[in-house]
Amino acid sequence: MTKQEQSLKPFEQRSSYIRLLEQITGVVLVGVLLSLVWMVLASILPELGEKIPLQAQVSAVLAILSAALVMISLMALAHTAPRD
Amino acid sequence: MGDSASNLNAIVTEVVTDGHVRPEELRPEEIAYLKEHALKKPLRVLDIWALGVGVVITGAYFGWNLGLKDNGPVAMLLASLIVCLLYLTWVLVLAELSVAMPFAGGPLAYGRRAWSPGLGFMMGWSMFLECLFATIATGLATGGYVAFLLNPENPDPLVRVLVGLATVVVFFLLQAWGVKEQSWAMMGMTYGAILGLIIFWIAAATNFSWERVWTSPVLPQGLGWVAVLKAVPYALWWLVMIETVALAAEEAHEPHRTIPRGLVLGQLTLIVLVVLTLVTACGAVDSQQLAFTLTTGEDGKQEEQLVDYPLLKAIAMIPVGQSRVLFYGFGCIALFGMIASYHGMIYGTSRQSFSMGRAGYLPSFLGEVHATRRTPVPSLFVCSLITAAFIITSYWFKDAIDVAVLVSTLTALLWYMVAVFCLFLLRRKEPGIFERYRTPLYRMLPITVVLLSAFAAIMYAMTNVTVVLLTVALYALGFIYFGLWARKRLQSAAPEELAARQICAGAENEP
Repeated sequence: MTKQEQSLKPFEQRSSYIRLLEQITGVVLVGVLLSLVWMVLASILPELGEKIPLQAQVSAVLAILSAALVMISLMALAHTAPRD
Repeated sequence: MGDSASNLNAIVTEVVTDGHVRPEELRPEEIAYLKEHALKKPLRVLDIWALGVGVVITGAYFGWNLGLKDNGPVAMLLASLIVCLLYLTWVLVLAELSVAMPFAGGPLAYGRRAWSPGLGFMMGWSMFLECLFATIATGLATGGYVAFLLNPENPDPLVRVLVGLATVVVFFLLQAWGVKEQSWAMMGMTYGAILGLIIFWIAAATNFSWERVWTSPVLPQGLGWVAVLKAVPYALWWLVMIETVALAAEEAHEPHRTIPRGLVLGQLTLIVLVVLTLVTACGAVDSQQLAFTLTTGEDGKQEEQLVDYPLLKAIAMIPVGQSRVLFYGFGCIALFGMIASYHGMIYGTSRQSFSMGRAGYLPSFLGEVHATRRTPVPSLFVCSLITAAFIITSYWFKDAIDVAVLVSTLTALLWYMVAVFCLFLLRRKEPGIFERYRTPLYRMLPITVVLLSAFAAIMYAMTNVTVVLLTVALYALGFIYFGLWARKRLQSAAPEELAARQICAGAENEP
């Protein structure tokens, strides 16, 4: 296979490791979207989050957003890595 | 002469091939038109990285701090992380579109090819407005920043206007000179801007207190999660304009390699800059003092004056900042952040108006390039002229910079969402053009972009209704021009039009 053909090879065929990375990232992204829903709901109905300390809520959302950023960064770097 | 002609032929061939246009179907007059309007293709990964970081880095120097007012550092941190996620997912989606259609028109090409000239115009016009108003805001802020450095007690509005105009002239000349030359300048300024931030982090670390960042309570009492939502529109200013890189695809060597890698590396660099700048600034001084200054008005009442130079103010407030060497040294280096972004933004504005002029969506003279330098000089001139006019106007209209920032951000969010719609349409209509690069998480990532953009746009519209009306008026103006004049005068030989036309012809020939 020539270098050019290799570069045109569909990404999905190249690595099962990256596919696993994508699956984990997908799950984390669902967590992000749920966090956004939570933020909006808790803004409209503040009594919803009264039973959970605000600091714990913020820490959880911060952890989810940070995890998503790390996972997407890893995936993006792997996905765009120079191909030999 | 012969070398020059063969170089031009090679450039045209590369443009045609990268754009998935069948060369054998081009008419001689279309090839001649492409030769006349072709841009060089010298940009590589490092150039793309520098363009991406350089054009956005001004966001770290001003604008974001206004989100701290009443909301506090934790709300701003959460809002900033949401925006970082939006932009990280967005650049991956943009890379897919940009590699499939590596034209200077960027969004114009996506809308045109996916749906119709009308959608192409809507997307191209959106990005033109986004780039133009960001350029105006940064030109104004550069002038204001220098005026503050010269006289921190009472910045002179005339100095602000004159420095703003000087910035416009200098960067018009540099951009007109040549693509590679301006790319070298961009790289130098980007390194300077990053150096400025590193100096700031080190200086701020000397007065860092974790209690100022992780406040008690973590979110303001009475606001709670509303504080995070209110901070989102300001957090957008951290990273808006990264999509300028997509416009460089036509000038990128092997865009399927350089654009995705350059975009991702640039975005990751920016995310590190965002987090470190926010945390160190808020840890060094009280976050409310970064957002506004209390001044005494003529009537003796105290007034809140918003801060346009948060990092410089933070330096001035900490013990090590009492050194004049650090204050003025940092101030001068920090100027790189402003002018690097201005440089990238005028690049984006001129390329967008160039491509729209070349394809007939805007007046055709905007689509001309310099005969030997192959830079879009008429487009650069007109965009610089509009920017200069706004800078002069700002002498009388003090809200000019706020309006410019907000229009830029809102138009950006609108076309991000439409771009994802185009991506899904094109994947269905022409899956072949996406063979060279595909977004990871094939459907989920683009959907995430739409949801995060919609989330941000709603938060934005809730807090700035008047700017929404202005934006609607600007779209109406554009569509009146397009509907009454440009629609019937589209230039069929422009790369964006050629590609779309060939697809339509291909679809009609299918059994």
